[in-house]
Amino acid sequence: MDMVERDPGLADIHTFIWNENKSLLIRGKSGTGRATLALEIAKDHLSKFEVIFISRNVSLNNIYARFPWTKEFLKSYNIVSINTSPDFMLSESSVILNSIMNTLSNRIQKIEDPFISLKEKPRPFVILEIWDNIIKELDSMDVIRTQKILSSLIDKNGGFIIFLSEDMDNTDIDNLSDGIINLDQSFYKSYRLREMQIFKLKGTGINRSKIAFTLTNGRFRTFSPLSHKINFDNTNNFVFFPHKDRTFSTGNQRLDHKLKGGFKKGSIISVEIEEEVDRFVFVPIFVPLVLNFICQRYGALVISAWDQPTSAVTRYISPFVSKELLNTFFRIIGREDDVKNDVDYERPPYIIPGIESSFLKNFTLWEKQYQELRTKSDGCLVTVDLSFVELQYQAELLDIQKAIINFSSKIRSNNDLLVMVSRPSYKSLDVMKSVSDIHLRFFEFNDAVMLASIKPQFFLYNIQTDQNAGYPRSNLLDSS
Amino acid sequence: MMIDTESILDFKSILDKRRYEEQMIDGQSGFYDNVELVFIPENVFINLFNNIRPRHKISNIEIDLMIQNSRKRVLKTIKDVYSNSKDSYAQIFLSYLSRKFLLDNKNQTREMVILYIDLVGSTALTAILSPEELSMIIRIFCQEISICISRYFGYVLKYAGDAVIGYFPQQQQLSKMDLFEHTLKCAFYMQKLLDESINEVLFLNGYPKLKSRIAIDVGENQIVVLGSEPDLLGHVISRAAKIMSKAPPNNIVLGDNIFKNIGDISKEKFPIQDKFILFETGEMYSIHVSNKRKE
Repeated sequence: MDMVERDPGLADIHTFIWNENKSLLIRGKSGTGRATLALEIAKDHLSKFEVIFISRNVSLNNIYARFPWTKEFLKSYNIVSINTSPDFMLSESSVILNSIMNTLSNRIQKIEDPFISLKEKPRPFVILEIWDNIIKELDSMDVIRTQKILSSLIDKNGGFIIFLSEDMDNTDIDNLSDGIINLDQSFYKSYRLREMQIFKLKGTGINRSKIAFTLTNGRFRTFSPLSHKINFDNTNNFVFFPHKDRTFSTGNQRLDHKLKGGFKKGSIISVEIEEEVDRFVFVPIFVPLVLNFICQRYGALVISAWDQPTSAVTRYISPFVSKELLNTFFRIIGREDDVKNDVDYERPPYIIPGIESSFLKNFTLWEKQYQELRTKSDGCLVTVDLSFVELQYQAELLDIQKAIINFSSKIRSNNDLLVMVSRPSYKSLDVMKSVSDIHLRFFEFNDAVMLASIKPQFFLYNIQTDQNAGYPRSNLLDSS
Repeated sequence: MMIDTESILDFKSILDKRRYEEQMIDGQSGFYDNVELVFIPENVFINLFNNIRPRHKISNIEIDLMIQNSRKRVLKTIKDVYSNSKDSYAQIFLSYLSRKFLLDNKNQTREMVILYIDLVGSTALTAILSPEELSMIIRIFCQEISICISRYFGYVLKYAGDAVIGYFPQQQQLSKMDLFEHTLKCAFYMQKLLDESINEVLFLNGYPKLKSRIAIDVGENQIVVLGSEPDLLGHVISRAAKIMSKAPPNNIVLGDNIFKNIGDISKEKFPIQDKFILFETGEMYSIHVSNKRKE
């Protein structure tokens, strides 16, 4: 089985089941992931329950084809296939119900020798994929009655039942279900955004009532809010991904793959970050990009936002690369830390204090540092947060716009890489977008931070901080 | 299997209809236990009941048969050591019978014989056995002792680690003296059971032999319901636990309250007299220890 950690986005649902609730209704149109979610939940309760997947006209091979990861826990005896073709007598609702009841009854543990230890008998965890087939010909009273019969049968067996339904409007059994979840989907550009809405989990606190998720590789994976935790106690040196002849690696294998090898040399990347997205998102995305240049002896120039000192950036870079590489191939221009009272402070060579008074003077400093780094390496990365430049030098807006165009042109002709960041409603955003080859956008969706490639439409990812390597990097989950 | 028709009538009458629902599953009639969520076919219930039902006079032939049956049960449990995880249904049913008796007689004060039996040296066993093996051995001990208590008109009050506490209430079928003698027979049968069944089978399968101590005393007990669980309150239970420390391994100790009410032949089996200070009154209390068996 794919050894994936228990999904934190499903924690409330697991608690709900541990709280001895008996039934959950999952509603959603076809293709929204109802069965995937049900199986994903069931997988985490195998120590106590035995899955009974009741579906129509289904074989074990069909299930494996849809959900290859279920091979470890779904065997033929876990599948109950009911023929519901219209010309077949079993399509009668009551006959389907009888068949389910027989299935459950046959699983009752029978005592054959009263003197040997009772085995821990797994309780039935029923996933009823054909709930709509059962109730389609019934009136609302019969639907309630049928649901009650099934719930009582499950209760008698100490089990749990998940009803899967496509009918989003039918609320007949809402009061009888211990939990209700709706699955829905919407579209962002050409990408799909999936959403789980938790309406009710009896006796269980709901920490997040709307949760984004993906069904990539047939798995139900929720998107977590971005973790800000970086472990500085157990660090490793960054392991780089080599640049290629025509591309610079992003420092993230999955991103490189979507970009067909990485960012093309000589390209300009514009990054739009929406207001509600925390700037911390730069850490898992841009720190690996910068480190990937430095570690391969390529230059990296970071022009940091003036509102915070350079240490706000360098603390995420310096612990993961040698001092020698840092001093030679890294430069950061920005506001220095307040070190007036620290007599022992010696400024590292990679920190270049910016010039606060004039954009043009500061820009000259950018160009100078860029040229110096170029002389030491075969390629150079420059990153700059333009919205803060615009805020700082409001009187020089035109100069800033011109500088963006000139600097982009220079970097493009040198076959280097420029990454510019800005925010909606800033003038720089429009200029930046117009000169860029790739436009990326960070936005928030149900507490999760998403990264969309807007121009061209390569990918939509959820970003999660990944700490396992001993340095910051991102775990990117495809939204599909 | 020999079916005792008397048993069929007996066991149906003691099944609580709320807990035991009569059902037919796979063509077999039986009872669905709504608490344990298991189905017990009727023939299995009859077999169980035949093995645990109380008997007035147990002949030597019957005792031999009981020992033979016990050996079979012990051997099965040993072979199943790593898949054993819960009590057997027999133990569950014996607990049900005890609970039922106490609830039917709640808030009453009843004179009862208390029998306390524990394993000697079980702590040392932890050093040589795996947790699975140790729990298997304790489960064997508890099950066989419980069946034995039931056979002699007793009920299992509780399991306390490696000890079993049984109680023998006054019954219509038995006079007071008969009840005391019956309890003594039960204790001696327990020793025989350990020797000829449990220890023999354990030893043949490479496990160490078990040693036990038994204490028996009589006194008034109050049947109380604490929360939803019935229990017994009274000095005699703690007294039985305390006098047990005076019994050498593999021997039986009797409180004076029971000793003075048994026949002379039985008294001869307890020649060693000792004294014990009663905690509740501070008075000296005589106890009587068997000396037939050595460690």
